[in-house]
Amino acid sequence: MGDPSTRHRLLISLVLVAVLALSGRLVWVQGLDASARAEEAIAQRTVTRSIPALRGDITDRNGTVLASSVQRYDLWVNQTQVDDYLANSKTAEVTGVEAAAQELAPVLGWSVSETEEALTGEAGFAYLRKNVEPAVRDAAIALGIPGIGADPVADRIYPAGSVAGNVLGFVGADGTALAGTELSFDDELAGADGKTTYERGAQGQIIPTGKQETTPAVDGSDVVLTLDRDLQWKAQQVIASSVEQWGATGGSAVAYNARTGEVLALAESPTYDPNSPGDADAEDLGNRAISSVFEPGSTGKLFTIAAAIEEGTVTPESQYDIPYEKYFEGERIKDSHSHPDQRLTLAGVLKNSSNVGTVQISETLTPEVRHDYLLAFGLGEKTGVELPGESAGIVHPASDWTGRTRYTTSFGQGYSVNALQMVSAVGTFANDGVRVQPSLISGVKEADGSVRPLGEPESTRVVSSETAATMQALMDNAVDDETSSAAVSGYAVAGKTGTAQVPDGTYTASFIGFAPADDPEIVIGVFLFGLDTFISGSKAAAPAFSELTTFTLQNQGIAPTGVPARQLENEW
Amino acid sequence: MASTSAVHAPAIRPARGARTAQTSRPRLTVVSTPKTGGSSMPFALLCTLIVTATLAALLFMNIQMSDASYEITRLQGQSQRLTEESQGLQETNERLGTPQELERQAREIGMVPVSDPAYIDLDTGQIIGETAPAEQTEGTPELADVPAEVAVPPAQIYDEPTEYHGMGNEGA
Repeated sequence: MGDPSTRHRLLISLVLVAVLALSGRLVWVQGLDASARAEEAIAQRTVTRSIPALRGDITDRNGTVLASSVQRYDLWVNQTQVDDYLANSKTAEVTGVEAAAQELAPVLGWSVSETEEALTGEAGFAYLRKNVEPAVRDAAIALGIPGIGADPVADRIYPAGSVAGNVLGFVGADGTALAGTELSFDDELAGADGKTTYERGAQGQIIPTGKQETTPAVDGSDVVLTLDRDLQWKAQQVIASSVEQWGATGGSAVAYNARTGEVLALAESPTYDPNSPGDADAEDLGNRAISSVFEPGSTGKLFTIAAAIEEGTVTPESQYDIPYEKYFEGERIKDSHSHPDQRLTLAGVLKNSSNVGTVQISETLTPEVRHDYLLAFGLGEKTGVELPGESAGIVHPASDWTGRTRYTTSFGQGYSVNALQMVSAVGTFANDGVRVQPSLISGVKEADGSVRPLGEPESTRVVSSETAATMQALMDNAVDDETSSAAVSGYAVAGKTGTAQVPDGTYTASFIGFAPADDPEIVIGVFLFGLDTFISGSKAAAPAFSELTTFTLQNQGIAPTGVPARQLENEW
Repeated sequence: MASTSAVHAPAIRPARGARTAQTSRPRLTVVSTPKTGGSSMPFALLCTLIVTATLAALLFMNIQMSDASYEITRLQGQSQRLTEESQGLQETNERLGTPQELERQAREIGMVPVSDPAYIDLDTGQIIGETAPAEQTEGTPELADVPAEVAVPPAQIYDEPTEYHGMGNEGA
């Protein structure tokens, strides 16, 4: 080893080995393993952000926004960092949480003590306030308090509050549709989230030469309802007043265009504000007009009479002897109020809403025929309106109409319906004998602003034009425009009251009608559920009908026809 | 690039042994002037220039791209702010346009609902219906007088207290 040349060689060998090792590593890193390394680096600076799709708006028939999605922020705090606020400041008199609270309180609209409480603690993450507007978030972030941050969230707002709330439904905190149109049209409204992948520089800027991939979000489509917001508001106001006045447990009001099937208003009381559905009782979150089934009572007489007229077994002038009570095959049928024997025409039977008279009319038909007419009027099957939670009601087969049921079905007892079915069925008379399936959705708004309809509503001819015209006259005759509380100033009103007892002992009062009686377009029904005592439809529901119809005719620009109300012979 | 360089034309010396071979006179041909050696400078300069220009362009483009990237980030921020501002205004518009708010404001300035409207038939000029000056009527008498804001209250997003009640410095 002492030999210098040996040492020299040894040294050279060592150097060579070292160089070889280094070159090997270099080749490995740069050549063989390069892509893996590069990918690791790219992965470190590549971020993928989801681009949330904006949920579509829900608008009324005129394009007024009833539900829209907005940008909100959830403000959060890392309580352990707040103490550093102004810690390095030489001029600040107060620092840390106290100073932060003083700055932040006015921004959040809280008192200083509240704010201080919220900022104090050991939590690494706690929400300060959720769903704040962007302006509040900007102001809060601009204070530069350490540990305060904000996450963007999409919030759903319903600017008109409870107006149409029952139809709109609502979404959960995470944006899941939970009720109403939000739920039934979730596919159209939701849209599809997109994502963007890019390489990010230290300050969050996009590295221009880096790889970028963007799948754009597809925003949800706007859904256009058939409702008119102003009319809906008025209907809700009217029904709320009536429910309040008569101590009903609930009420529904429906305005329905008999020619197109469009539902212009579907009002409920009590209802809820979809901005905070949690505040309402669960039973108020739906639509009684389609979910609550009841025996229609006297409004059901219309179908018996229409069937008999259509079948040609009676005319409006047909004559009947009407005692207060009468036995039909041992079944005692009586009128709602005691009265001396009357001699009424068919028109008079409807005007006086006589059960005894209606049974006599119904006996000109077989139960099977009457049953088929009830089904033809759309009773016993869902209306097909685009809302969840509809109850079809029950119309038993005619073979089950035994004993008393055979007679009570003629005056609207012994089968059950929902309010919208009834309005649509009465709409048959307002639309020339053709029943149009009710609809709440005009269509889906396309990118170019046009509205794509979701199919034509189904139309069914139930009775002939002549029968429909006769029914209009009979219903016109039934409402005395001088004295009835259903009267609408300047218009001839046609309609029918109804009151029926519900098995639980309460009563349902209703009024369904239309104006102008000789050229109707819009049918309005007012229903009050859960009345403690017998209150007739003419007393409880007719005033609401009058008020709502007055507003509807103005709202829809329907002028009086100037044709006076028809007076038929009611007695003989 | 304009550059000149002296042309070194080597003087052609007469062949010394020319006379010795007088008999066989060599065939003489005119030879072209040999290529001048020249300087390699221009080419080097050209290359340098190209490289420099390329590098400069690359640098410039990179700077531009980063600039653009920062600008994009800034504009995105601005766009976000403007979107939020527009959204805020839209929300205000929607709030002021709700039926509840319009009703309240209409009542505040003394308007009442029309109970007996009249219409003008534009074809005939005829007035349909009879109307009277608005009185302070209270709706249909049979209907309970439930205040509008109770029957259909404004949206709950609007009536929550957003205004701060103090100066933010109490207890300081």
